[in-house]
Amino acid sequence: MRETTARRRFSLARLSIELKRQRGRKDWREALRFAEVREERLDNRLPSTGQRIRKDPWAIRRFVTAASGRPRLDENQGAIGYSAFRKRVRDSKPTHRLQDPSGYVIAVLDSESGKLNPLDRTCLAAARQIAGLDSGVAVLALSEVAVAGLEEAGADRFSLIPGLRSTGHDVSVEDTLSALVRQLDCQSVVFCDSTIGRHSARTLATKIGVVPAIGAHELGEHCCVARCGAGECDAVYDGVRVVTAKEGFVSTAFSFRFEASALEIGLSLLRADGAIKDLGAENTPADQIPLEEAPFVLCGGAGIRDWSLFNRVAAQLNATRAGTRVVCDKGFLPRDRQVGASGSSSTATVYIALGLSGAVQHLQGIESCEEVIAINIDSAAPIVKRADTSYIADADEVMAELFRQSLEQTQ
Amino acid sequence: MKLHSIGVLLSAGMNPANGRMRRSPIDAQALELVLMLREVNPAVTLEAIHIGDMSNEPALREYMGMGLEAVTLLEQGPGSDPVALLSDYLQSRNMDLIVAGCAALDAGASGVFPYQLSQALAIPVLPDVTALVVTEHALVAKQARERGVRQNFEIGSPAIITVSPLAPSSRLPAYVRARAGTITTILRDDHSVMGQAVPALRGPTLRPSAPMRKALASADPNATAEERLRAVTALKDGAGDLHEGMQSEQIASEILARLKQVGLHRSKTSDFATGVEK
Repeated sequence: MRETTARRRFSLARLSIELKRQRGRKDWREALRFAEVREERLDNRLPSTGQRIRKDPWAIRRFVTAASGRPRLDENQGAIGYSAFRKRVRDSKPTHRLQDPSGYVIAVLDSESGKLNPLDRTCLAAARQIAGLDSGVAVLALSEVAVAGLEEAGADRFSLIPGLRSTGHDVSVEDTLSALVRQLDCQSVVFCDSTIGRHSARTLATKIGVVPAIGAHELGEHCCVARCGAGECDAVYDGVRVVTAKEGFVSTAFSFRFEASALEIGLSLLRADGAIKDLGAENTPADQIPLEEAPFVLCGGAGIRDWSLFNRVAAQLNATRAGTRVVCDKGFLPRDRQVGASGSSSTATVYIALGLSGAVQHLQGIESCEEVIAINIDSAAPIVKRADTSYIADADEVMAELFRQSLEQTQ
Repeated sequence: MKLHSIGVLLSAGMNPANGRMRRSPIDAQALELVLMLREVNPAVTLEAIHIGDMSNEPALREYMGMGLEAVTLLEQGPGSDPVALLSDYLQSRNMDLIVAGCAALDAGASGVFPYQLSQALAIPVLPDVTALVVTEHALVAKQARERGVRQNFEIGSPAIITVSPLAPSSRLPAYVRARAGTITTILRDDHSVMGQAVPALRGPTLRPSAPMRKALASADPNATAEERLRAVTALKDGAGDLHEGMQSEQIASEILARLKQVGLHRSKTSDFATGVEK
């Protein structure tokens, strides 16, 4: 209530200023639009009254730390201007609480470590989109281990089922899930768009007796749309029972926080006969993994002099090699190893940028990298602005040390 | 391990470029896997099965051009259930392994047919296989997962295998072989199968494809265009850690410690698996 009154008063104040400034403009709506664009400059008005903040000329000048870390003179002397107020209101998210859910949408997560990977986030976001915010339906996240970050990702409830993502075929995950679907009377089950997730989705759908929507890009409460194999048709599914959501087509950011409270389910995994035995993952050299999906990328730029050392370090650390456009032009790496606007986009978990300046075109290729570590001799290089950790040192020296220490640790 | 017979399920799809029926690329990759297996183990017998009618003959000729001598055609009557038809036939043939593509080219492409078949025959399914190796004691299949992870599985018999698009690409058909191949039609005359037909699962309705809309990056649906642009293009701009004047040894040890924390660097004791976060 107070915010609405303040906003109305502020709008009127803004409008009066703008109309005074733009006497020529006939349309008051146009004047207000100009005022909105210049809103950020109107930082010196109080949010409650819309009046200009009165500065005490005799007060001691205070310093605040700006976003860049440098101290800045606080012009408002401690009072919060309107744009900072609005930013604070925007950044603090309300919590979406659900007391008695009328139904459940189950999201089966894939993560083996305690973190959510992008496929898990898409799965939860899809479940959230199917459940909606007003219908009283809760999103129940199922995972094998306790996962951090479920509140921001959209889960109302969570439950642990040990052995859920078991890779062998000696437990019947889908029998447990269908029993859970009957017990909780849930309308939809969402899986991750991974190999295990799609397999579980198809098996569960066959058990229940529906056709699953694999790779759906449009999701609603009652229907969803997926692309057909040849790319020519859209398949519209009536009723969303078993779904896999395509990554990148569901919004994973929310303007609410959610309570990811624990839910007790009295179910355990049912044993099935193991006709297919899991022999474990193969030790493939990382260099053979396609660059778009490689988890660990070592990228060399024009600042590297010793390329044989670079190749040896990549082999020793078991990293996928990549290079910038300049490096591929000169022939140090083949063209299919190029990362950037005209090359591949990397979605690595860790991306080490050695001796590259970070031109805008290269930064476009590393937008989706989770963590970027930059080693560069120049502290003003644009890669330093993008990187999570930057070291100002010579790339060749650091590579030699990495090789030596890694060899020591693995011998 | 003695592999007696392998069945390959072939389907046909429409080529969007010219409207003609063609072989499905993923089924061709499945056939390629089995042909490569037969080249290594000549004792393996191979039977290719297609459900449909003779109007798909051009597509079947393309498959036979890859080196397949014969294709069995199961004629599907109107209103009959393909799952019941195929499971009935496969039970009579007693196969060790059934290989199929991961999804059909047309008509929904949910990839659920091998799973319906596995439920009808009560045998397990292994999806997304890229390689098959027959050793002395077992049949080992390599499954393709995300981030370049390849998982090995030992398969008992009988089982159904679904082939991933990452499998080796299929060979091109040769005209002479395509002409020389035979198509054996098996007409299902006994109405018992059709009478007991379980109504097929209600699939999706198809419509011409509309452009897919990517999700917005920012959380606030009321964000202005300026805010959305800034959310997408903003760099860290000072929010990252900057270390100046450190020695190379210290930098290297910090990087290796971080890699170990994430789980991407092996140490002396642990076994290394690509892409698994510990």
